Amino acid sequence: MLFNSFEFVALVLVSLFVYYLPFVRKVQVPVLIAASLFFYGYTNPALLILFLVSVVINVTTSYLVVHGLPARRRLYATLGVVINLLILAFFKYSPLVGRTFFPPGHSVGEFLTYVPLPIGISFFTFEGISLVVDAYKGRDIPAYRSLVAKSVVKHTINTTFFVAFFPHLVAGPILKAHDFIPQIREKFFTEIDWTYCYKALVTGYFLKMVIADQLNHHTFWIQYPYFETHSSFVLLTLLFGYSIQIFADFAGYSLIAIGVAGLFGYRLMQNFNYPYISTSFSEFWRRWHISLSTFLKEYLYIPLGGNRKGPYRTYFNLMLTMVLGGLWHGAAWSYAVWGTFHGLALALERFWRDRHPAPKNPSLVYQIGSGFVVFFFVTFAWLLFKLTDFNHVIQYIQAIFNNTGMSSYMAIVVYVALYTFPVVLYHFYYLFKMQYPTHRLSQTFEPYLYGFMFFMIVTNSGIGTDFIYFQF
Amino acid sequence: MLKKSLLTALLLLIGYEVLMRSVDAWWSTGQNAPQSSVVRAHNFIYSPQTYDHIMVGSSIGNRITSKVPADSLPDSFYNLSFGGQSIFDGLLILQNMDYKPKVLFIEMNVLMRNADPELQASLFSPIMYPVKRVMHSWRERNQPLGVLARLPLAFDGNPDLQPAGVITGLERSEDAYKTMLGVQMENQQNAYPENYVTDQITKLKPFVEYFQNIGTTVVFFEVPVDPKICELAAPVQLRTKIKEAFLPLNCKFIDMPACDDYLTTDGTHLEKISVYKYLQYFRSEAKRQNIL
Repeated sequence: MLFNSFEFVALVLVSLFVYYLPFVRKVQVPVLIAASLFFYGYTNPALLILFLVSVVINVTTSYLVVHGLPARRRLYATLGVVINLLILAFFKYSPLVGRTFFPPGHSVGEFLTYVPLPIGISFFTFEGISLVVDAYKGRDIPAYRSLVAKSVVKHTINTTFFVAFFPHLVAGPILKAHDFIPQIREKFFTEIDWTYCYKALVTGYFLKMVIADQLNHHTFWIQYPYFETHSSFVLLTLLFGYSIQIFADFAGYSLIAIGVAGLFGYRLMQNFNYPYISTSFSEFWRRWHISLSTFLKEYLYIPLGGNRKGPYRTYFNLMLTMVLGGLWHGAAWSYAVWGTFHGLALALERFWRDRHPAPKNPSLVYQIGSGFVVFFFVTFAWLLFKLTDFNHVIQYIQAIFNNTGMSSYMAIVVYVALYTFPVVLYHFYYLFKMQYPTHRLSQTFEPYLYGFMFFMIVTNSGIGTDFIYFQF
Repeated sequence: MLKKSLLTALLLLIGYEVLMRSVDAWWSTGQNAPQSSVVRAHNFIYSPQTYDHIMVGSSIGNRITSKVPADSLPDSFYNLSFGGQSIFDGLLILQNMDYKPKVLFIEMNVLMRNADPELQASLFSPIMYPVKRVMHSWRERNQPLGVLARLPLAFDGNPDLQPAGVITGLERSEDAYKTMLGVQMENQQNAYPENYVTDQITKLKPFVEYFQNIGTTVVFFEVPVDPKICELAAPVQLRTKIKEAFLPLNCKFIDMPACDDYLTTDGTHLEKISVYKYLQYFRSEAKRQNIL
């Protein structure tokens, strides 16, 4: 069920109505669990089987970690993490293993190639890991112990809700148990922060339906063999368009999730913080898909030693974290290359910064220059997302150099410019608000801006497509 | 904040609806191929006019009228051929509307593609279908940025109201043409598995019978493609199988003319200059068989 479908709007409205009925208050969480399971199983109820198996594993292992025999806690925690990773690995990487290590026609290879990828598996398995690890890390700290209720029934309900809550279920933001579970309590209609939800929903739907869905049909031309027919200028424009599209698609999704969760009284973490103003790769990763990057930092980079074991180990840890982060996105080697690229960029940046610290008060030219460099490389790396066959990536880059003499199809350029402009403005507006936080202009201007975005959602939406991150 | 914002949206919606009802933004079409399909379908679905001759097809058939002024075919024609889509999409639109054309022209080139359920769902959505019938500003054709982006075309006048101009020169870039031709040749050099073709014909037969039962004459036509593709295994197989299946059902055929006389932009889509040529052939052949 897509966020931009009528079915979803109906589900939210019906759930909201039931959720805030006074006599339902004691069972608000089960109501949302039921709505979430309906949401997840709507198009393919069979998906619920794996999802519920995953929930049972997380409920059991996290409960045993906190309330089981103390001598076996480490074993239970390890089991929980390993089983989650095995589920993820089997469903996500079997096709890659089948294609890479078995000849065509081999029965095992064929079987692995056709293992289906359940939607949202990368997200809910990571959330399961978060619960088990948080429970283990904080097993002796009262605040953390409260993540795993003493009552098995309550713990089962809380865990199922934490993983299943439909706004974040299929594409994040990836919740951490210690952020979400403490929020579970009775909620009241009068507590809804309408302005917060409205802003998140309007911005989210605008980014997804007006920007990403419109750009999607232009960036279609990035695919092989169509890119061969376009000029260098158009190819670069398309790449720029895709960079904006992937941001608008995913940030839009995250904002809708945040807005819908807000209607039910839950705050989800911010997932995007104007990433394209970043002036370094490390800043980019503090602003892009924050829930994933903080997850990788907390549950992988720091346990690997982080930056505590000397510079070379730090570079290695950065590389490894990013390569695995790349592979988390999908079962294709291009994602690993994408992760390696970012890992290398982070490691090199760290290496450089260790020797040449960044100026404390960088000039505007320095900031613009470094911002441009980061955006340029990040944008080029998105090509690995769009073209998952690495040969096509090479051919695309070759075409950029070779097709200089071709005439440009200007309609594509015009539309990409039109639909990327609001996102560029969106980032500049943030910079303006940073510079002048109390400026009257932004406060006076905002209601009309949101009204205009609402108007554009109604009149100028593209043809609805899946969210790009659904495939991950 | 909320009240001001919602009021702004409401005023903009009312103002834009009034504007779109008072100005015919003829210059605005889809901003991309899928949206152009929706616009083309909307123009048909919401049109007060009825059409006796309906064409259904893919992007290959779509070129027949989309690249030349509307006087290329009689006013009684409507082309429900969509880029990236199949003949089944046009057929389903007609069926959903309970439309009864006198003559139905079915393109033979792209039989293997299936209907796009999302296109049908969006066109006939129980909510948006009636809303868009009333609200002109909500139709894809009138999207503000689409209207704005193509506004410069408005100053040249509506080409549909002008006589067709003489076309000279080719649209294609030779490098791009060669690349795409190579890809198309590779894709079409082998015949499709027999059962796949049989399945598609089995899907098509009920449509043909449905329209014949309501008194429609069904005509198959094949648009010429690049001479290097014309006689490859896949197109030959489709041509043969379609004829075998539908000649016994008394369907008529406008056979493909000699491909050597035609030029394409990418191996399968006619150059504008060849569209004219094909239209002349199409019309004369239809007249010869007393279809028009």
